[in-house]
Amino acid sequence: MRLRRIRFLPARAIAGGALPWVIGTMVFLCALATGFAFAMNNAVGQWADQLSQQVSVQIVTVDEQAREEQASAAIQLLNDLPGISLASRVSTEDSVKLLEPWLGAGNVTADLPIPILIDVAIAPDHHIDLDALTAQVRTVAPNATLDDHERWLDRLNMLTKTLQSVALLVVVLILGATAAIAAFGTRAGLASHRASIEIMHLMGATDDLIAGEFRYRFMLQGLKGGSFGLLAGLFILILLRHFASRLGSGLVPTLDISLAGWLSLIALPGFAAFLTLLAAHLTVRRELARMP
Amino acid sequence: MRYGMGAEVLQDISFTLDPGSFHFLTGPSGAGKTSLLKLLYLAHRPSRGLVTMFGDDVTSAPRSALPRLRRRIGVVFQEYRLLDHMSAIDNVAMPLRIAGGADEAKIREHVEELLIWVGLKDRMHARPPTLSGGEKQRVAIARAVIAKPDLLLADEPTGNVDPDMARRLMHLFVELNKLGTTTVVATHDLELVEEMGGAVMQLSAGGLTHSPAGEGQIRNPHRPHKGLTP
Repeated sequence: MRLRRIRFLPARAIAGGALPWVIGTMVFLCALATGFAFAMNNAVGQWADQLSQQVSVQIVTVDEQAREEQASAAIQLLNDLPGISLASRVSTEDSVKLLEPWLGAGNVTADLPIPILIDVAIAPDHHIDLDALTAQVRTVAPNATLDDHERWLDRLNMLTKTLQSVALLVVVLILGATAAIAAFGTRAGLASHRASIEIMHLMGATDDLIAGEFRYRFMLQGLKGGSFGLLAGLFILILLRHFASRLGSGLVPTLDISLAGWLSLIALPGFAAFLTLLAAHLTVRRELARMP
Repeated sequence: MRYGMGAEVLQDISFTLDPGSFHFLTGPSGAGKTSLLKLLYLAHRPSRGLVTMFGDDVTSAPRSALPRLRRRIGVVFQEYRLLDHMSAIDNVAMPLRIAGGADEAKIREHVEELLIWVGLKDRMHARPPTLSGGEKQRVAIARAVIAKPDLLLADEPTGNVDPDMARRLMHLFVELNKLGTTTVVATHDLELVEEMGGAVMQLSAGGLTHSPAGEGQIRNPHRPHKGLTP
């Protein structure tokens, strides 16, 4: 591709005024999909980080005395183990609160053998072997069960990956549609400027020189539409982030987007411009190849 | 040659244009003058036979080789074929811009000089839709000659101008021819042909008759002649 450019097309919109709007809409949708994918990734990453540093121990036995003894022994053992920063018992009140959604408030009587819960915080940069830890804990608390939330995390990861794949598919489809629209636009442009193209061709302009003008014009339209689309997308994402943060933590992801996410978003108009440029180039070259 | 799936036109035609020669191409309407010019300005390729131009066989040359050859050919189209959204000056400058290499200031200076010469000093910045038929024709001629082509092909170049301007334009062709440009002027104007002299290629249903009269030597078009005197 040569960079030399000769203006031979009219200054007015090359494929009607609609192209930048369509590209803008496409980039807007892409920005939302990309923003959500990165926000989701970030939120899940934060949850996973928190959960992977925690293990829950439950002491489940109907014998209250045995339950208490085993819990004390387990807490003592766990606090003495290297790699564990703190093992603490979840108070009975908190345990009752955790059961409230299922059993209702005030219905939990002292007779009900509520399992004792122990929160175990793993020291930063440490990884524990759950089977080994379970075996160790069971030497002092035979009725203990340990859960490192792995199954739940696995499901969460699978859900995140599925959502991200869907977002990626949406982005790819939108960008494909953008390229197709640019190709249609180029064809319309070629049809309406056929006389100009033919005369340029007959005066000895190379295919690349002719295509260059189309490339330039479509790239500008892609950039123009893409920038507006990105601005609209960013506005919506920032607005949603503001509302999500106001709702309070824990309920919904806070729509925090990583640096890579922001860079991907900012790159969208450039990518849309490149796609329209490429589609225009290929379409013009294919049409020109039909001329002698 | 053949247009699409249509019947062949221009069969059994064979001729050579010597470098620097001047030829008129005449013949009745429909004889194929424009088709022959199209072959010469490489808008079409022959369906069979051989066309050699500047030493290159253009019949089988790759597409990528043709732009370079086209830049050596100046064409005055019968229907002008100007770029309507561009000024006269930009239309005329186009062949030089396509060729590349020259700086824009020199291109403009050169183009302005030629436009003044063809009497369009005050119309340089006008766009073709605002120009008269004669003015458009002069812009088209200026565009064809601006790059001093090796081959100049003109299809009825004086059809829309007054006799005085016709003489000036023919003088331009002659001057260019003297500099070595091989020139072919397709015309119905037999009086102009008679006045100018030069070789005549007569196209008819029977083929092409190449008259050697004048052997490409062209006469001074400024000589008063009844057909061209206002």
